[in-house]
Amino acid sequence: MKITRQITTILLGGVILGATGAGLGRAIAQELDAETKARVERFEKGPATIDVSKYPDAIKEYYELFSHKCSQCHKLSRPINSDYALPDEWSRYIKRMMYKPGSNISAADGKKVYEFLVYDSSIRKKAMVDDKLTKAKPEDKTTNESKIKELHDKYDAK
Amino acid sequence: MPTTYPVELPDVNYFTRQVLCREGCPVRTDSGGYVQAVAEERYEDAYIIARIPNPFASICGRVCAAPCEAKCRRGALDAPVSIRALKRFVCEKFGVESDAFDLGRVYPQLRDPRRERIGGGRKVAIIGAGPAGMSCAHELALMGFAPTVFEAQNLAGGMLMLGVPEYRLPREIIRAEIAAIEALGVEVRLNTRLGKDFAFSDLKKQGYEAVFLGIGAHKSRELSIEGVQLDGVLRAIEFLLNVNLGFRVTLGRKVVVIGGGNVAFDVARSVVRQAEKFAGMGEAELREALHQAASALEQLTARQPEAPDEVRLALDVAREAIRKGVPEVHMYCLESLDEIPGAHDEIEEAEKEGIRLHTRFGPRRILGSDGKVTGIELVKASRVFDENRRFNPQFIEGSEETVHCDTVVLAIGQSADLSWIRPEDKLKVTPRGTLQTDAATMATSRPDVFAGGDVAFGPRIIITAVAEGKKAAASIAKFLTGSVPAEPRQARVTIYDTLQYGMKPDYEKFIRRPPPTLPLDRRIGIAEVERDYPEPDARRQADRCLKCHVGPVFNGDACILCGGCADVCPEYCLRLVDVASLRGDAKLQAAYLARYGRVPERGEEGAIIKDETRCIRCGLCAIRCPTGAITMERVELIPA
Repeated sequence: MKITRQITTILLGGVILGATGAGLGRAIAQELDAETKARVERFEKGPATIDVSKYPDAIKEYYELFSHKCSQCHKLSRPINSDYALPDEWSRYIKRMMYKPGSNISAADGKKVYEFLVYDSSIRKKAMVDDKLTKAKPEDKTTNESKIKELHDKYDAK
Repeated sequence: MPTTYPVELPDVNYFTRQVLCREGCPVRTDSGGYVQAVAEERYEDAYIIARIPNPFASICGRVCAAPCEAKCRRGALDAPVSIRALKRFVCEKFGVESDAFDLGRVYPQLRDPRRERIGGGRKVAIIGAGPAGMSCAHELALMGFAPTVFEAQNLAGGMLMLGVPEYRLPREIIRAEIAAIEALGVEVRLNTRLGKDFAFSDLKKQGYEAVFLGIGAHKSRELSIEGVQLDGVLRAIEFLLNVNLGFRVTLGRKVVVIGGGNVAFDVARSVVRQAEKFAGMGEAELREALHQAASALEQLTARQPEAPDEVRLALDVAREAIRKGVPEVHMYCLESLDEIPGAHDEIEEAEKEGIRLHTRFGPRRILGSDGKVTGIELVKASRVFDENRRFNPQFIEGSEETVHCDTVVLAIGQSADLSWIRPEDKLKVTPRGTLQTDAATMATSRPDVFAGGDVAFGPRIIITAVAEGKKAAASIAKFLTGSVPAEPRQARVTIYDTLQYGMKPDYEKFIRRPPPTLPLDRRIGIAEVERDYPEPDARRQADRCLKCHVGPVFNGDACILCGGCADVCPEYCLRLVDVASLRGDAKLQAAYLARYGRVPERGEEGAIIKDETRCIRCGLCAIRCPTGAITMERVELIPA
């Protein structure tokens, strides 16, 4: 859904400089509405593990790799509970993490982590994936669906 | 010394400035807007976006030097979006060259009843029907003036018609663009030359209250070296003019073109076509071609007894034009490949066609025997520009080389013919041989006379001439009516649902592909070389656009300083910094006072800053933000 508003004033006012100090930041965090507060909690303190017992063996292996590599820098709850779900989003996200100094994620490992996260999202975040795809352009929907299908074709038991 | 960051607090102007293609276009065409419309298959919308600010949209779709592409943000990542070729794509569907063209659909978008009342039918004379003059007339007509265009030639279009080769710009498109402008109420009088058919002072007597001079620069500059007078030395503009008027020019078997700009490339590529045309002809066809050239020459000389000597000489040569075989065409220019002012795709196409480019050479003298060119002596240049980037070529003595050839074409610049000016006209001329013109207002030394295009500032690209014509129209309106109301604008902000926002999958991996071109063996005569993109290719190229209209907007009140946005940004354009490290203007100080009530000390407050040059509008930061403090928003200025 797009919200369109007309503004007639010139100044949008400090939108890039979203500046708050540490003290002020905490004060604002305490004033967050319940929904936002829950979202913040979920991102940083939500579940940090996933039940992969029903995933294909290769994907289970990639989950181990994901757990090992990604937990070097941040909690696993962060990617697990994030709102990234589509192949394109994960691809960009993982590349960014690979380039972090000392990440030690090779291109081959990055691909495995990508495949795990896309596969996992297609199951665990299915509702979110479906929602995003429903509102995407038909050809973009097809592109994303084919990438997801490709992974399932590759790893699901025949 | 701690690192500091120069920052700017964004306002509407800041956001509109981020659309770099629009900023790069002299008429502020919203190139990104029509590129995005192509991606969304809204082709007619795309055409209208391209057409509103530019009465020569279809022409620019083919031959614009595309300053928008030079600015395109995508260029910093890999290669700019093919903006010009995409403009051509939509113009082919809805522009003047298409069957679907309907002025009735475009005109309502151009019309503004508030502007139409400004002119009150007052008469304005426009001298020259080139892009500057016709654009000025177009704007004046939309403001309710009665513009009359006086054109010396028997056709309108100026250098578009006379200087741009037909293989780049089909003539029917120029005619159609001119016709669309005439349909707005512009009168064009052909074969009416200033200084011959009327004097400048006559215009006032005929009731014209202001004048715009857009007569172009149709003379080639001279080169002061030995041998320039030899038979076989041609001037570029005269050469192109003759070719484009349909006359034949004798060239011989080996041609050397001196110069490196677009004009030089046009000459070199036209030479190849002339040669090919004649090479395939039998004796009877050659006789017929000569006969036609002679007839055309008779007509032109009868109509233009005052034609400059260079034109007459070139036309005389055309009468005798018989050539056999394909000549070798060599281009010598002072600049290195990096410095060469010609467009790079032109260089590539010229080289494909067999033109051999030699860089860092300057002409020393032209050699001849019995009054005819036999060769040219060139000297190697060690540099072209000095440390202050001023044109100051240095040559390597002893590096002279002689190249044998039959023809030398000098493409070293153009100048305006201002011989018609009389003292009583009170028009001042600059030492460069241009009309003294104020770049901000297009005003000349006479209050009721304005100028633009090549005659005002020397040779320039088409879209700059269009912009100057439009600017002059606004100045003329102001001069005649006292003031012109500013076009009211308001900002429109579209906020995207973060979880639905997304760019095209893999868009950053799409590579720039040029539009297809005619196979080399079919590049004969006037056949247009560049073709249009097939539709799927056009949409894929349009999907490369980074959508600079859209960007992440940060709400400081909702930010909890988690740094997640900076953490995930794939292009490293976000950074969480100490407020004390920011450097800004009075607006920044005012923002401090508004937010904190004082200027914060080091270590007290934090800020997110963004490097706009890198942002690819992927939206990862917004998706990552746990509090929804970041939203992807599209900011546009639209008519109020």
